[in-house]
Amino acid sequence: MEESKHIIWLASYPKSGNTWFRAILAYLYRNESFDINNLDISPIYSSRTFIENEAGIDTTELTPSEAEELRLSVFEQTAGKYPSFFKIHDAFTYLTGSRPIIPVNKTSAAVYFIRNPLDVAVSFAYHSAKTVEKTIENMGNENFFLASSQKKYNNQFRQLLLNWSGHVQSWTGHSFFPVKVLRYEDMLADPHRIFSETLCDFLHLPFQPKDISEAVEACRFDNLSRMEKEKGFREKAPGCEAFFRKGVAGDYKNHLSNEMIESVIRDHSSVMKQYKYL
Amino acid sequence: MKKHLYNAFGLCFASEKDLPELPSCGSSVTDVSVVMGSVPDQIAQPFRKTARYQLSENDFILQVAGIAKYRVQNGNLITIEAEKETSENDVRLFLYGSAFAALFHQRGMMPLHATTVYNNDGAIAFAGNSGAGKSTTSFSLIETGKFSLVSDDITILDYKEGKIHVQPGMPHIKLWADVLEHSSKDISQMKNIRAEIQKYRYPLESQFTDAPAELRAIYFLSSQHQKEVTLIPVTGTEKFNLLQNNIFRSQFITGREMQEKYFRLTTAVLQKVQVFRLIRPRQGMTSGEVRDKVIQSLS
Repeated sequence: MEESKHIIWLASYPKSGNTWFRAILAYLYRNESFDINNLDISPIYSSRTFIENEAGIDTTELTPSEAEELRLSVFEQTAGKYPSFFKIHDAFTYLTGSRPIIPVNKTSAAVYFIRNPLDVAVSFAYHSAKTVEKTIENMGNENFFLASSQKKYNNQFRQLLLNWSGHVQSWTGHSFFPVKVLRYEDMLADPHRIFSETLCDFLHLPFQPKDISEAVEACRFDNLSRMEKEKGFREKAPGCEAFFRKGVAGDYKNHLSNEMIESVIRDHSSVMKQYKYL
Repeated sequence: MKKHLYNAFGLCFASEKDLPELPSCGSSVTDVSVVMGSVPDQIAQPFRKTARYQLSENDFILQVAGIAKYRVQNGNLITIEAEKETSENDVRLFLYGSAFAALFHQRGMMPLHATTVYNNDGAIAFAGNSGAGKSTTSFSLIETGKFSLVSDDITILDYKEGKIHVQPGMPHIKLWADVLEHSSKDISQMKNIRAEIQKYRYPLESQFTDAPAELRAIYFLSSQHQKEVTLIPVTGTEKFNLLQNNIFRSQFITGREMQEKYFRLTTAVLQKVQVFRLIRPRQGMTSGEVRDKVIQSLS
């Protein structure tokens, strides 16, 4: 691996398996103990903390586009060591001058997590304490942002998600660096194979099959959920009861009306077909 | 050139530039000069250098893209090179934040990331990261009419003759639109800190303490996933760590000698003041409950 290209992006629309993968990484790289409240091995690109340390200013006093410029420039100029993992929910979009929003000159690869948008709708609604109707509308809105309120303090930079299909296409349709797409449903069905292929074959990380098996076992959904019940989960959104809710595939059938299902399919049929959700 | 004279954070500033947010002063003894001039891209032998700032023991350069470059030297000189077509207001905003922080570190003044208010019994400081609720909590106390502002966001402590005093800062408090709206303030008449950002300078000239105020307690603010506001008295080493972790822009500390000075000041402060951790729920506007908890702890 080229040393200057040290970044691996863990990219996804929210509620698509990103945190599960990050928990696996945290387990594999744990120094002393594994704790779901310490997933610092893969910080989020939208966090203000790292940028404020490097820039020495209060980034809430910048406009959103100034902050995005600053973040890109700080990342472009900061050296690192492979593998540096960053979680990201931003769609792969461009700043002025056709520059990608992330530092492609420092990027080795990306893992892109995709999940059936019907299940995403249910999980995302629960996670953000919004109605399913509103969530489906947001998933169809090509101007949808996270953390974009200008009226209050936010510890994250705004994140443009585009609509759900646009998010998938933005990450999978460019040729700046290799992107491996993981279907959440495949991760559930055969976690050992998917994580081995991704970590060992695609990212060339030095893990053995038994390391992966151990991590998969430790990060089983019921284990993560139990840890959250015992100690809470700091990455949970304020309005939601539990971050680790069900984690299953196909739960939308218990929550979405036919109309809602049709609405999601109408908005996203092409990408859903491409990834075998239709 | 005509010099404007100001007094803030216990220092007298002589500035080429009009700095209307600072209280003016009549003293002719100047601690810090603020001048307009060219700022180099590099300083000699920086011991810390990032994409945006570099520092050595007595020299510091900060670049805020599209706005200005700031240089701070020897704890007594600030040079500003503003970019063309930048608003004066924007240039001053980052002067009062990060450039002042570098100045205070060069002078060994240990700026705390805290907002301080005062009532007849003394001063109390609210410390914490950005977004912890320092200004919001302070504002809710000031709104009772029983407290006045000493300093917002940066608190400078002065240790003299066995007493800890807080130096008065600037007579306004910076608040986000949601907090002002929650307090039924008409933001349409207020000045936001920058044209596109809905954070406002709320003027408090008539509720401002312009003399050093003796500090009696520090509350370290944070938020968690919980339903209630909790107040926990802190003792021992945790007290020390909390104070050290809340030094404003600690990445600008100018070296080991200053670090040792801050250790000594921290120890002195902690012998004199009470320390609490004040934890609020992540969700909802709980400034009223937080305020009541603080008032209860003072009685």
